[in-house]
Amino acid sequence: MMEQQYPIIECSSVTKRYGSRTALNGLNLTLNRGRIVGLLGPNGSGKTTLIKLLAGLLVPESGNIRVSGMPPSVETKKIVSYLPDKDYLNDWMKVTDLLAFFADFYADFDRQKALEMMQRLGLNPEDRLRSMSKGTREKVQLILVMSRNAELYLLDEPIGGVDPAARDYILNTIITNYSENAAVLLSTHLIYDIERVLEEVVFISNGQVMLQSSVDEIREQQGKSVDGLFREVFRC
Amino acid sequence: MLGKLFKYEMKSTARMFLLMYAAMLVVTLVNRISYTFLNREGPSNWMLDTLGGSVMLLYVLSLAAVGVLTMIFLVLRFYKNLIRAEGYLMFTLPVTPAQNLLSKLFTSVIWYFASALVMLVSILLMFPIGETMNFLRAVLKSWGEISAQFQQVSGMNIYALLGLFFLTALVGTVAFVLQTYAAMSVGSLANSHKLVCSVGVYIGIYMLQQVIMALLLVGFGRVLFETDLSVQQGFSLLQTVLWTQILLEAALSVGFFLVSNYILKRKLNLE
Repeated sequence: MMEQQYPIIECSSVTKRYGSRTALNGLNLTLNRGRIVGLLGPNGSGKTTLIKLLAGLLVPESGNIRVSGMPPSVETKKIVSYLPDKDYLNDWMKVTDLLAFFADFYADFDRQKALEMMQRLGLNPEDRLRSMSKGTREKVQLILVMSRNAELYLLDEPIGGVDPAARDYILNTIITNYSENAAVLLSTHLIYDIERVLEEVVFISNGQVMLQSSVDEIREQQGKSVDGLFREVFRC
Repeated sequence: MLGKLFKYEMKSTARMFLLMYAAMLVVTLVNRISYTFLNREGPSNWMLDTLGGSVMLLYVLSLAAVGVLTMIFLVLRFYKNLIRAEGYLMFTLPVTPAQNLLSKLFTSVIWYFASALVMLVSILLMFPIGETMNFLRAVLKSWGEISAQFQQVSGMNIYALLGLFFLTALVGTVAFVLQTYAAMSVGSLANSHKLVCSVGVYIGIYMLQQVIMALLLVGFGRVLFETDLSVQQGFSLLQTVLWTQILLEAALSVGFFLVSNYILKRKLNLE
């Protein structure tokens, strides 16, 4: 398909302001398909803003954003699977309701896979979100997002606020479930835990990309772990 | 996609409304029984009278509550589902903001009309069913005659008038709903206290409308009071007034929709 030729993400000179505060300042970024990319930066660096722009939840003041060659729109939302950094689903919904909802609106949703993953968590189809622990709820949200055969997965702080065992579960879910030739962009400030799944990293600071490199390059050529490099680059 | 959103919206709101309507039905029946009981011949008893009066008061308040609760629930539904955290779900679905607005608009209009119908049925149930049925049957039987007479006296087709009333109610409801959406959309631009700002915006729009309405009424009122109108001219004037209202509300509806759509599309900033 024509779309396969485009990088999955192209941002050029993207600027986003909230009132007087500039969150993204002429940001440039190109990401290719078929890899897991970490969007790493300190709090307030613009990670969430960038992700929301890619998800089509924000409109930039200036600059160009392209997802699979298209500006954020209904068409990109069909191929982008987004996991926000918060509880965003209606508490009252049951597992069956959620599965039906996602299946109804997303043609690429694999309902069977999602149901199986939820059952392996020990959940019943009739369980409501409000009856689940926070950790379980977060896993449910992740399962729904990863059960789509999307071209781009945007995960905003997917492992924040959960225990180490849950983190492992989440990271394994991510690496075993994203579709071939898709890209995963996950933002985090917990680099140490996530490093093992990353293939490429983008360091972001003050609304701009500071560094973009494959993880191998960092380890081999710089002899550091990503976590180590991050600490160096963002030393306070 | 609009169909799916609409289906989902109806499903999400149905439970609350059906429960409310069921409760209203119960209150109606309780009031009906209480009223019938009190109307029996016999010595009056101050305790029973107070009880009966209280039940009737409860009934009237319940009736009003159906209307008020419908409005509050639908406004909060929009706010919670689109402006608060659920907005992260709704605005990343492969749908346009316009589709989100329209699905909620259709659902809201349906529930407003349903609530009005429930209130009407409730009031009718307060009368002896036999009498009500007889009355309705009589009206239906002599409908031909009624509409002919009406035509003669007013110079207007009765269906046209009924249709006009319905259209006025429909467009009025649509405009009202879209006004709340516009207010909430504008309110969402505030950095904090979004709901309070929305209420403020709504009041602002409302007051502006009242001023314009008052000016228009002065114009119409003058015609009404300074000229001697025949019944036919009166009905003609009524039509003019209603059509003016319909057109104005339609224009407002479009305006409110465009404002809401623009803000949700270009200025969305979920917390």
